[in-house]
Amino acid sequence: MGIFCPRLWLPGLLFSFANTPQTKAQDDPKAREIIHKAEEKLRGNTSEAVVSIRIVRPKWSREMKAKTWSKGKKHALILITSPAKEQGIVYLRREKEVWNWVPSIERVVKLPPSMMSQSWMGTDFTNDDLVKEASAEDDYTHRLLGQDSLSGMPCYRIEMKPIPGKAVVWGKVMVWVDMQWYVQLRAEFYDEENKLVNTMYASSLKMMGGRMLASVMEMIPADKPGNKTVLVYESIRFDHEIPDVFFAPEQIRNVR
Amino acid sequence: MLRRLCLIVSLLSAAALYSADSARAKPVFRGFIKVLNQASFVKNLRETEYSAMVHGRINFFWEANKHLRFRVDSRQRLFLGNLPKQRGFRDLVGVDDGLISLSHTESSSSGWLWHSIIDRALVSYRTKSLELTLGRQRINWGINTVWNPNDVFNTYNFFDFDYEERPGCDGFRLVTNLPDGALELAGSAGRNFSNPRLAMLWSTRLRTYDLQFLAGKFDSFYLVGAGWAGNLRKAGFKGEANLYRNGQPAETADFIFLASITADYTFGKGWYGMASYLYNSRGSNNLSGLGMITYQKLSPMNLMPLKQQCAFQAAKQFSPVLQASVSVIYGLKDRLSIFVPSLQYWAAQNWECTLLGQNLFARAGATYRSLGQNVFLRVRYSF
Repeated sequence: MGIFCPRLWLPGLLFSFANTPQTKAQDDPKAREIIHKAEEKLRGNTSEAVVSIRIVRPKWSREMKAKTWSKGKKHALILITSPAKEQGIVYLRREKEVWNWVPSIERVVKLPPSMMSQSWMGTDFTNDDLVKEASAEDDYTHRLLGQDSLSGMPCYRIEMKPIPGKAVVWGKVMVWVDMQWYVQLRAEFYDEENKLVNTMYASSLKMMGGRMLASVMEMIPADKPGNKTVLVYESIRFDHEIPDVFFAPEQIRNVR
Repeated sequence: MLRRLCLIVSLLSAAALYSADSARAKPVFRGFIKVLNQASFVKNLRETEYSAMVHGRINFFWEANKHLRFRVDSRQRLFLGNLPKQRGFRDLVGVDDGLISLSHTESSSSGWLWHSIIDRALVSYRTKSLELTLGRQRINWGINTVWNPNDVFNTYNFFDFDYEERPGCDGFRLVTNLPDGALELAGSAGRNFSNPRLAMLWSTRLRTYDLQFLAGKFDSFYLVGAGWAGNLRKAGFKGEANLYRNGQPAETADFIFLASITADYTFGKGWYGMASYLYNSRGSNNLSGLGMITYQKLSPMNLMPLKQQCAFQAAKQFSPVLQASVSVIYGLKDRLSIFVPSLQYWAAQNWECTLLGQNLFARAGATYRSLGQNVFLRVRYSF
């Protein structure tokens, strides 16, 4: 998984596109500005959301519910609230480090870097998606390819390619951003051989937390027919006060 | 035991009602039911003995207001088959070293044994910078993966795989938040305030390492310890060590030292590997009784019977619902080898099946002999 997906799915778990604006060679300022606005939609000083996550496989599916909190770009936390066996599990990110609270054994486990590439809770996301700091502003060039219509909504179609030398896993990312609300409706992730790896679809736009956001998102791996992860935002709010100590590893056992 | 339980529930209820905040006063009950089947033999397959256990757990939690929390967890086990008929088994599983006994056993000559214990009964009071917890609780100071010398209040028995929650102790825990860590003071005592333990722990972070240092008094011993959790390149790198010094003249050694170190790595395609080592200066190298180690309560001063042992684990996640692992514990003396293969399958949202083996071998003279072979099949439903 790459830089876009988690940012879109769990606002605040992720890094924002919109860092200090910089001008890159072959970069289209208008395309950058569109991405910037789309990211601003999901950003706040803090965020708190309730989400449901459904993992779909050809022969089975399972559903989880979670609460997420974030503060700035560096602090994020996920609490699993169901199913019963996983209830109370917490993932905490501080900068690039991740801690996992395992309530059944009442233990905080620090995740090693090699574990970052593994699936997060069996979804189509990896642990790395929780900590990825890749920045679309700094690591990609942007090109506005034109306009499309998705589900009757006019969209900007933007191509993003990694700047040589940057630690980016994707060879190319295509993004569709709704022209009215600046909501990212679709993203395609390609590998270095220009082969499609994942597609993210966003739908069911509604006002949440005072912002127009996509409340349903689907991540579909291209090479695994019948597999997908569906995330539904049940509620979200922005810019309320969360003290820094809330994101301390010593405190994650108290998160409810 | 019933009277004590009633007393605890009454006190907690009264305190909770007194302090209840209607917005938060939503008591939560959770738990599970497990059925564990066990087949055991030492050398001869024809002498296989079969046992079964029904294991239930009910956890009660109430956040009365933003400061006050209550928790009571109970564990119920019904043993059937050959295991409860073994001499001393009732005493082994029914032991409760707490300040007051919250354990109760009932058995019959026909071969069943019922064990009930309250292993958590606590009240917790929190402010922005302080948290005080009183009662039966798990004070988990372990930071390493397999063996935890720093976990001085609630020693974990690696072989008791069916007790994930681990036992609690009767005591207090005071946690103070620091800018980048915490300072903890904890104490516990056994029956009639015997076996007093008092220790302080300071946890902090240095670059990508979590560090902790502890010091205290453990019965008649003074102890100091340290632990870390960090990374060596992409591998996890963790360790703990404790040094005990006897504060009284005794026949036992003046110093006891335990140290463990672990490295683990997650490879691509769901593969995971782990290697760990434990040095235990108190290890006696006496392997007798190892066959029943699954049900024994261990001391933080003696986490394994041997002086030196290694643990290795290889695991593979085939899918989010199916994973397999093989763990090996190897004692450097007498070539003690314990193999623990396991297969876990999540059959449905709250249903889980586990097939697990515990195969113990050791050298006896020139031959390699079996110390005990156990196969467990467990089905769990969580609610």
